[in-house]
Order: sequence, then C-alpha cells, then structure tokens
Amino acid sequence: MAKRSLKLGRWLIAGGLVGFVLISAAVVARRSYGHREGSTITLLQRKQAELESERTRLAQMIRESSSRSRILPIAEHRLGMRPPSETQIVYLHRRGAAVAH
Amino acid sequence: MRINRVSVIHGALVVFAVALVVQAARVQIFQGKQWAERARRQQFTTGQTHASRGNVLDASGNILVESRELYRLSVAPSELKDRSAFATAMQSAGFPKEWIVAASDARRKWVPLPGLHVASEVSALIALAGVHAQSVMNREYSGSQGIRRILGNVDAEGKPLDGIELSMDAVLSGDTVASSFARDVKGRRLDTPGESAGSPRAGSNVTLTINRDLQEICEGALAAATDSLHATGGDIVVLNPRTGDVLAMASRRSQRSFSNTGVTEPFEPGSTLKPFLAAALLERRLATTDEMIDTHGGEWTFKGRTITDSHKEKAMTLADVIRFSSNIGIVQFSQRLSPREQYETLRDLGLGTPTGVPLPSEADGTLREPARWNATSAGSMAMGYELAVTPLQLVAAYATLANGGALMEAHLVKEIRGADGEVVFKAKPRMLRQVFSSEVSSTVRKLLISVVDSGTGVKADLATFRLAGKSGTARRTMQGRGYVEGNYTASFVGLFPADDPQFVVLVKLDSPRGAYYGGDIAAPVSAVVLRAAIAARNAALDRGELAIVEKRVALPESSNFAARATPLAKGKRPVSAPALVDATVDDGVSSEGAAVPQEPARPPTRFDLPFARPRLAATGAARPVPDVAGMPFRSAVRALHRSGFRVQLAGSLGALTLPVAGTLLAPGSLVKLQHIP
Repeated sequence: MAKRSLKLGRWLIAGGLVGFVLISAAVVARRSYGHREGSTITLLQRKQAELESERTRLAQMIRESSSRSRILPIAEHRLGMRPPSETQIVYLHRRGAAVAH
Repeated sequence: MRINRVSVIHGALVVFAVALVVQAARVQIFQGKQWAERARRQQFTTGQTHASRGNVLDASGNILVESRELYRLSVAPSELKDRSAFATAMQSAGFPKEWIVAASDARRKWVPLPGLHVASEVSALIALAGVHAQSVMNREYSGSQGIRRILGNVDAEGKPLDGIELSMDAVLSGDTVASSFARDVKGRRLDTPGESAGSPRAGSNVTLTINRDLQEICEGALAAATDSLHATGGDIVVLNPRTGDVLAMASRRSQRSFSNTGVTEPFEPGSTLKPFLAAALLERRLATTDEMIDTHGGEWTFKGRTITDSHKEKAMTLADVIRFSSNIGIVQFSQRLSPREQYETLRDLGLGTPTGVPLPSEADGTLREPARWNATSAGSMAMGYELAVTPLQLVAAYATLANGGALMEAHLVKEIRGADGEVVFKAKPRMLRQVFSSEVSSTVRKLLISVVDSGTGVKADLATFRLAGKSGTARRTMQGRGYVEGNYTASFVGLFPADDPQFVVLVKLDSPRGAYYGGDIAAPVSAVVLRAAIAARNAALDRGELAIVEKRVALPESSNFAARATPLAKGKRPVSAPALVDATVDDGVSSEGAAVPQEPARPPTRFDLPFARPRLAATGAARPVPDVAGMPFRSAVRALHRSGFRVQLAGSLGALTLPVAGTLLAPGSLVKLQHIP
C-alpha cells in the first residue's frame, strides 16, 4: 500500500514537472514568436519608410525635370523647338459658341 | 531512526520546492506591482510620435512641398565592433576621410555626423553596432525660388519659420501623440501589430491658387527685365479677377530677400491710380468720358506746386487724360470729388487694408483719412502719391474694373484636404463689396483699352487679343532723402483679354536705370508674360473663352509661315490651314442643347506648325518675324532685313530671335538675333 502511494506521488511530481516545462516552453515560444514578428514589422516599416523616402526623391526629380524652366531651354537649344508666338496659335471654336469681333 | 540518503534528497527537494513557491508568491503576490512596473520600464519606452506634415500643392495638383523621412546619424566609437566594416560603410555613404577618422576615434564618446541622409544610402551604416540613427521628417521643396518664397520654410526641428508653412501651420502639422512601444535588449524599438490603430493623424494637404507654370513664366520675365534694366527689384502679380485667386506672385530684389514683397512692400502707385478716380467721377456723374478740360499745354501750377505732363496738350477729354496719363487733367477732374469721396473710393477698393491672404507680414499699405491731408494731398493722391499700396492690393483693386465693379476677396488657398482625402475647406469666390457699377467698370475698361491701343501702354499690345491697361511711373523716395531724381517705380497693370478679363497682371520695376517710364519698360514685360501664358499648355487660361474674344489678324501672303500639312499615311488628304481654322469642336450638342448629327470622322492629319492664320481683316503693315532656324548667320541677317526689320546681334537670348519667329511686328522694328561665335 505504502509502495503504491509512493509510486503515485512520484508520478504526480513527474507530471507536475512535465506540465511546468511544457507551459514554460509554450510561454517562451510565444514570446519568441512575438519578438520575431515585432522585429519583422520594424524591419518592414523601416523598409517602407526607405521606399517612401526614395519615391519622394524620385517624384521630386521628375517634377524638377519636367518643370517649364528646365524643359524650355533644353527644348530650344537641343531640339530647336520654341514656344509658339501668339499669332501661331489657332483656337478651335465650339459649335454654337458666339464669336465676338 | 535511520535517515537514508533518499529521504535527505527528498527533504531537500521539498524544501527547495517550498522555497520556490514562497519566493514565487512573494514576487507574484506581495511584490507583484513593483516587479511589473520594473519590467514595463525595462521592456517598454514612451515617446512622442509625430505624424508627417501635410503637402502643399499648386492649383493643378503639382506637389510643391512634401515631407520625406531622412536620418541624422551619430556614432559611439566605443561601441564599434568592426572598424574596417564601419570605415567601408562610411566611405560608400559618401563621408569624407576626416569624418571617418573622427567617428572612429575611440577617445571620443559621441560623434554626431553632419547632414541628413537618405535611408537607402546609409542602410549599411545604420545596421552596424555603434551607429545610432535618428529619423527626421524633412521638407522637400520643388519649384522655383518664387514658389519657395510663398511656401516659406521650416527649421531643423520642423517648426515653421515663414510663408504658407507658418500661416497654415495649424492645418499642415500632423498630430503628435505620446505612445508606449516595446524595445529590445539594445533599446531599439520593436513595433507590434496593434500599434497602427493608435497612430497619429497626418497633416492636411493645402492646395494653393498659384499656377506653377504661370509663376515660372512671371519669374523668368521678371528676372530678364530686372537684369536688363539694372533694376533694384520688381514684382509681378497675376490675379483672376472673377474669383480673386492669386495665380502668380513673383518677386525679385537685388539684395538677398526671402520676403514676398508682393504683399509686404507697399509702393506709391503713381498713374496706375488714375483710372479709379475716373471711375469715381463717372459713378457720381461728375464727369463724362468726352468732357474736355484745360490741361494748360502740359504745365500748370496748382497751390504753389508745378504739375507737368509728358504728353502736352492744351485741353483733353477725360478719356484722353487716362489714355495719355495727364497729371494736370486728373488733378483738375479730381477736384470735383470731395476729399471724403476720394478717400472712400480708394478705401472701398481695399487700399490701405490687408487683403487677408495667408502670408505672414502682409503690409496694410498707407491711406490716410482726409482729416490728415494737407492742401495738396487730394491732387497728389489723384496722381498716385501720398499713399502706398502693395502690388496685391493694386491688382485686387484693378479686378473691380475687370469683373463689373466688384471687389473680390483675394485667395491664395484653393482647398484643404485632410490626410484621408476629405475636403476640409474649399475657397469660394467672395465679393467684399460692389465698388463701381458694371456700366462704369465697362466704360473705364474701354478707356484702358485705348491706353494700350494708342496711349502710353502701346508696348503691351498683343497681336491676337485686346488688352486693357494702365502704365504708371512714380518717383521713389530714399530713406532720409525724400524723392530722389532719377529714382522711379515703373509699373503697368493689364487686364487680359480686355473683352472679358481672365487675368489682371501687374508688373512693377524698382529703380530701373536708363528708361524708366512704365509704358516703356513695364508694359513690354506684361506682354512677354501674357504671350508666354498664351503659349503655355497650362497657365490657368480658359481657351474656350479666349477663342470667343480672339482678335483675327492678317498675315502677308509672302509669309514664311505658309501652312505645311503633312499627311500621316499615304492617301490621306492634307487639310489646308483655313479649313482647320474654320473647323469647330463638335461635341454633338448644339447651342440649344439638341443633338446634332455627327459628321464622319476626319482622317488623322499631322500639322507642322507654324501655319498661317485666316486672312479675315487687315491690321496695317505688321509682319511676322521670319523663321531663320537652320540658316547660315549671314542669310539669317539678310532674311530679317528683307522682311523690313532692323537687326541687332546679341549673345544669349534663350531663343534664336527675340521676338521669336512668327511674332507680328511693324516694319523697322528691332529684332535681336542670337549670335554665338
């Protein structure tokens, strides 16, 4: 009888220890996963910020390059183009619009 | 009793287990709060999260300024583990050698690196131990210097200093929230998925009424004018008279200045004020446009002060007083107005009162009450002296002559949208008061048409549109010296097109050397601005309306600009130029709103510009400047001479000829030809 209860006690202790180890492992695994995810989010957010910053820089370069003050001299000197004089512009009249002269 | 070893071990284990439980109970139950707080302090940190500042856009939606994340770097040399990798990363990030040496110096504790850096350029550096990066939201400005003046600036901490950045800070700046976030063992931030829900709201986006293309046109014209005339400065302001929208505001000063002088620097307007006096007289029926007045042959003494006219006549009508800008005439006519009436007219036009555009340091201008006038003040004010107006005030006042007599509130902000795109504010045209009746406004506009047609502003005239305008030349004062001989403000205000104005343009040049009459030097600048605006793709002009009021002009038969139509594909018949001009844009709806039958689609045809305009009405002997592109230099000179022009060689014009090929000019006009040896 005494031998039997001793055996049961050992099993209980062993079971308790195993349970403790399992619960601890689960907690550690959960925290590790959270930490890893947090690091990934941080990394992705930094990457996103970098890309946004790069996009802003490129968009600004495009805006600068396509601005009138930049394009006009290039078009005139390299391509021989020039803005039309006012007499060279033809206005198309919408049908029905009154023309005052 | 015999104690065996197993019992001892069991006992020890039990004691250990009990001690563990007791300690756990002490930590968890009795000291729980204390330890939880300590853990929170260790694992989490609090800080302020700033949302990005809103963008500023022009009226067409082009971004003028936006925020961009950059990094400010610092190095703790003692924390560096791999110095050779650090040196390589520094080198590839573009740091000079002295900074690499300084940042690697183990004797120093903390080395802040200069400048702000793009993450992609310094990512290798940031990844190294010992390199600390601080994220900074930097403002990236695009656009010209003039746009920068309007936008203003922010300091290194993101605090606004001037311009729109300062005046609209409340809407541009995003929210700042205090937040708590997890950090790793090195103290670096660890983001968690739940955080984004509490992220601060970004600043609103502000859309200005400024048109970027028109602004650049104005700045280019102003720079060319001030340089060629050696003026100490100048301003060009363009306003939409129907809505009060400020479309362009260019300023230039010989001294380094970041001020928007279009709103901060008042000046004596001189003769540009005369049309308002004429309007006041007509409004009160105190004069008619054809009423003659004695102008004393161009010299007259009034209350001990001699007044002279440039255009000397014995007598002039009110219309001619405006056309030839007669000082004697306007002073005499203005005597019919009481000082109170004269003052109220100018006050009702908004002179002496800030327009309220959201720019810091807007000047009031000066308009004294009649009680503070002296004996000659009424006369002086009729000639545009003894009062000071800002360029913006003057164009807003001229808008009353363009829109039927209503003083419109000037706008610089068109729209404000929240970060989510929802419209928070939309500017609507707001009439402040009806200053003149529409009949009087229309009559005065006719007087202003005559100024450009045959008066002091002929140099502002355009070939294809009628322009109304008024020139002004006023003596300038210098600090402590009063009015100084040879120091003038030359100005011109134009209403374009005269029949139904879309623009009010003010050109003002300060202290030009040589020529100084507004009609001689400011009026041509106005024509340059308007010609460029007409040619620009997007310069805030309604071309449908321009088509209605367009002036048809004649071209000589021998023009170099004969139509050259080139079919795109074989068998496609080219369409002649007159056929094109007569064509209408058919939207399938007649003027009455009824559907009209669609014509069969025309074959696609490519036109090589320039091409001839319809010859509907002859307008004298004006002829186009020939296209000399590709010609040898001598041939180009001969071609210009053959066309009846005088030729002057010039270095860098920005074009082959100035005026450009195709511009209609009277025979004998001077054409500058670019000569690059």
